[in-house]
Amino acid sequence: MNTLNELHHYDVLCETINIGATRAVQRLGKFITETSPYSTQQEIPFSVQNAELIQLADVSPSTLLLDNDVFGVVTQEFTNDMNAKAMLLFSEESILFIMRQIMGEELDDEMLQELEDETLCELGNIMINACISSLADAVGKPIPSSLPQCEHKSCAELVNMIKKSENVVVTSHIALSINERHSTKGEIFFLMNSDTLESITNALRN
Amino acid sequence: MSKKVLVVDDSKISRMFIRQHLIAKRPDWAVIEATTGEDAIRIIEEELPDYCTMDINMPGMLGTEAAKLILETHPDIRLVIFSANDQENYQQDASEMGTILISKPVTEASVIQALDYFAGV
Repeated sequence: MNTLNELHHYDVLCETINIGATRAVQRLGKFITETSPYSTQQEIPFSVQNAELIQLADVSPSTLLLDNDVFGVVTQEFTNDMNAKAMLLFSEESILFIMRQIMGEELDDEMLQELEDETLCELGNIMINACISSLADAVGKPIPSSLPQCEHKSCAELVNMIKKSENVVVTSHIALSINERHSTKGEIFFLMNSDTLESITNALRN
Repeated sequence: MSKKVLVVDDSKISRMFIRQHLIAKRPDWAVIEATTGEDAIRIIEEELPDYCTMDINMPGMLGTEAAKLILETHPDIRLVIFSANDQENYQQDASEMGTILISKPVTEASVIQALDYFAGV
């Protein structure tokens, strides 16, 4: 069982992830509203649910808030001595919706398909790096990471992959209200083993 | 006067939007592209651009390493770092090179910031 002290350390980690996720979703808002010279979007309201630490035994679609069949997933691994990776997940529908906001409605289906992975990868690059940069600044040392890898996975594949990794998961759920009719949501996961969890929480404590 | 700017980024989306904003603001400028730091170093020798935007995380060498080499051999080039990875150590690297790090995403405001830096504002 975790001691009260350990739980407090995890609260500090979750709070740091909250700050990173907020920075990430602000940048997503900017990406949608300001990246394209043709964008007509105004500022987008968003919310970030409190980050939560989920033990391996509790990993399931419901605890991870995965309520779609297929996800676009961007992954970046930490390449220092930490055994951790960060993941960004959006439903296929959300990715296409975000792309239409950025590229404009006139983009045909063929072009959308051609640019889907490129856009997802850049979204991941921007959002994951916002989180990792917050974490690195909070622990007071650089966190180098791999280039973003983009893939499409079913909900079952994702859950199996996470269970096989034998890592704990820190999850952050984000939501944006694009307009009155449409909101979009995504998930940011940090997967890390117990040594890395300990190392990060100790660095945050110091 | 017409100028030449080299955009170095492995992301097609980033290159596309940097180019669009640059052309919207400076329609007479020539925009050339590279996707790695190694390519950028080669293209700099061939094309001698006036300005350069540089990503950090790319296949091969880091953009900060490429930027350092470029500025050592071509100190007249005005170069900005454009990256989603804005950890303090990279901001410090940029500062030590005498340049600036502009956080992604690429926006009209961030391209104006780069143009101001190019102009010495």
